Formats: sequence, C-alpha cells, structure tokens
Amino acid sequence: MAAACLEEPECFSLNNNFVGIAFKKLSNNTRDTVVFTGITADGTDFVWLADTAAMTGIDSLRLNYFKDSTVFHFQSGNVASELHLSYLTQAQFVSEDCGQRFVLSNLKVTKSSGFDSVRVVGTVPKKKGTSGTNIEIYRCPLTNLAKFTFVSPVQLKQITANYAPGAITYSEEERSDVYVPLDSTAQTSTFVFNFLDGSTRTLKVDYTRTGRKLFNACGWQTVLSGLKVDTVATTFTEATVGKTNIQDPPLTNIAITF
Amino acid sequence: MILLTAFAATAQQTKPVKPVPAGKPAPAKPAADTVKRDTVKNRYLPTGIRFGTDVLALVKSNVQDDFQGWEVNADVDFHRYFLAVDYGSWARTYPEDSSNYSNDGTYWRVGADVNFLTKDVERNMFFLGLRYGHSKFSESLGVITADPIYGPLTRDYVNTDITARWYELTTGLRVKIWQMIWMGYTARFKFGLKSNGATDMLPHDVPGYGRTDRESYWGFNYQIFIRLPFRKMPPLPPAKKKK
Repeated sequence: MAAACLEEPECFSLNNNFVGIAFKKLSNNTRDTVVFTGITADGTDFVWLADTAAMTGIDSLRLNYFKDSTVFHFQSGNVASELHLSYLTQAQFVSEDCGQRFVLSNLKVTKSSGFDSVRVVGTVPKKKGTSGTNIEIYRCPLTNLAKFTFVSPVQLKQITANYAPGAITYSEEERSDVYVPLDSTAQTSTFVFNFLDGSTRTLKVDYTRTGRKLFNACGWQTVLSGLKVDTVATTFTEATVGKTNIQDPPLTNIAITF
Repeated sequence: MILLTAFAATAQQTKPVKPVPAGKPAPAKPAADTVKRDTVKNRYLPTGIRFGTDVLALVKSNVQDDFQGWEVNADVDFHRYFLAVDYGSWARTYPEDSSNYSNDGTYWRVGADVNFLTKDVERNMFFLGLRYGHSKFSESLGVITADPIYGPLTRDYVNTDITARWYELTTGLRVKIWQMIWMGYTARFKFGLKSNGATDMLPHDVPGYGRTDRESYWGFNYQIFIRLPFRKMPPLPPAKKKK
C-alpha cells in the first residue's frame, strides 16, 4: 500500500501548457526591453497585461490546451502585434486520483505580425512555474538612434528636431546621456536643446546614408555613418564626434560641452 | 650441368632428416583422440511442451473491480534452453466523475530462457531469459474538466488499434509438483516501451506492460503448468568424481 502511494504522481501542474517568451536584439543577441500596454488571447476574456509594463520576457503565457492553436495579441501604444501558435495536444489518463493531463508538443509559430523576427527555441511547452524559453522574438537594430553625452550633467527641458513635429520632453533631473533619432530621410539633422535654466543651444549633425541588409529578417535598412558636427550651426561650447556611425545599442556619438 | 647438380645437392641439404639416436625407440604415432565424446544423442531435441496459466491474473480478475485479464504460457525445451511464448488479455476500467478511462487488448511475448539447474534429476528450473513483448489494444477516456482561463471542456477521447512493443529480462523457477503438474513464478523487468498509433490521446496502460509513465516496470506471474512429454528425457551427464 505504501509503495502504491509513493508511486502515485502528484496531481498539480500536470499539464505542460505554458510558453516562455524572450525579447532580444538581433544586433547582439542580448535581451531587449519592450513596453506593452496589453496582452490578450483569442477565446478568452482574460487579460494578461492591462497596464503599461516594460519587460525583457514573459515567463508563462497559458496556451489553450483544449485546442491545437492559440493566438496572442500584444498591444504597445497604438502598435498591435500578433503571435499565432500551433501545437499538438494529447490527453492522457494519469490516475484515479489525478484524472487526466494534457501533453503539449511540437510548438510552432504559424504566423506573426508586428514583430521583426520570431523563432521557436523549445518545441515542448513547459509546466506552470518552470523556467525556460520557448520563443525568441527579435527586434531589428535601430539604425538612426544617436547617443549624445554631456561632459557635465545638465537639466534638460526638451529637445526639438527640425524634421519632426513635437519635442522630446525630459524630467527635471540631471542627466548626461540623451538618445535622439536622426532623420533617416536626409543627410542632416538639427536639434534645439532647451534647458531648465531657460538657455537654448543648437546642434547640427551631418552624416552619410547607405542602404544595407544587416539581417535577412530586417530587409534593407538605411544605415547612417560618417557623423560630423556642423560647427557653424552648432552653438554648444564644444561638440566632439566619438563614434561616427550609429550602433544598436548606441555608443556615444557626440560628446557635448555645454 | 655441374652447377645445376650442385644446386640440387644444396637444396636437399636444407631439409635434413633427423637421425634417431641409437638405443632410443622411434616415436610412436599420435595417441588416439582423448576428448570424451558427447554420448547423449539428440540432447537438443525437445522432450515435451509445458502449458500453463498465470494464477495471479485470474485472482486479480476476481478480486479487483477495475481489472479483467488472463494469461497462458507455454515453453518447449531444447536441452537447457527453452523457447517460451505467452499470450494474454488485459482490460482495465476506472469509472470516475471527471474522467472515465478504460482499455482492452491482447498481448504476446516470445523469448528464450536458460536453465541453470542442469544437474537436477527432476529437471526443475532456475532460469534467466529474454522476451519481446507486443500488445494491441484500444482505450477510451471521457474528460469533463475546466480551465480557469479557457473555460470548460467535455470530450470523449478514443484510441483504437494502438500497438506497443517492449522488452523483458526474466527470471524465475519451475518446479515439478506431481507427475505432469508443475508450478513456478516469473519475475519480469520490462523496459524499452514504444507505442504507435496514438493521436489525440496518449496511452495510459498497455496490456502486458502496465502504466506508460514509467520507463521500466516490474511484473510478476505465479503459474501452474501441465507438461506433456514427447519422448523420454535424455540421461543426465555423469557427476564428476571427487579426487
């Protein structure tokens, strides 16, 4: 009798109907931080994420093991993404005490939209509470995001670009690094920096645009290189070019002395 | 000609005939074959066939509500080696509120045993053996369950004509009780289970093997046999004389 009890499997977490997702950068295969405002699935009113959250991965998205597929919807502001997953679901009787379990395998991504690249790294979904990644979602490198570094920390109010409406606003705290996108459609970008003390400075950057296929999944991208500071239009005391090309993650392109 | 004659003479000298020393007798011819010949004729011809049944399966069928089964066994001797064949039927039913499981099928095993009691007058056996097992069965599972996110599910799963195979290491005893009546047991270490044909449902219990969630499995039979002799058993080899 004792041996029979010992042989009986535990009845909780019998189903392996959870997938782990990792968000990564294609440029260096490291974790990427993404911001979602909502995550839902077809066939249920349940909402995994109802508020804005930054994350580098999702530990356990629950698959519908009554079917052979589940569609997840990811919302990030106005941008919607979808992930269509298919898998093989097989029921199996476990014991009189536990009833049945559902064994999932052969996980595939049948369709995705809104994501640059998706690949399955683990075809067997996992049980609740276990670690592991089944799906990696990659982001293509940003080829126009420049990094400006102030030699001494400053209190920025906002930065306005000549090519885009609106401005990037900042909190009142001191900062050294700012990340601003350059205009990929032109060979120059001009930024007006408004500081908290009311002063204003201008930075004009010239660069070369080249079309390159960095990754097959990303297609042709406009790569910016040969960054130069237009010293005539720039009103900072000093602006020295560091990295002349744009990298992801960005390295300091221009060191600025206020 | 002189050269040829000289060469022939040299060639003959390379195979000298060993002279027999004076006073010693010439070596005798090699002695006759001194290895004892096996005088037991037709020792590998079968002497009888043993038919039996598993008593435990019959008892389980009468005692347990969820099991119905039987098994018959047969073996034929080839000196100390036995060809063994088993055939059985196995059905389980677990009626439950949330899941209703049942299976039904037949199985067979074939293999060989080696008897290590070669000097026993009654030809009792202590054996080790190997088996290949094969099962063909059907099973059904009725599921009534609910997922906290995806809601309720009510569905009947059915597997028909599933096949499975496995291997066994066996050991046991066969003891002559009275005239043609023999008894014995067989312990089976079952392993290497593979099943084919399952689609929506994974097998839970394979007739002849047992539960599929274990990589290996122990089985036990307590058997009663009737031995039908074909011919007289060959005599045992003479016991070695103590020096």
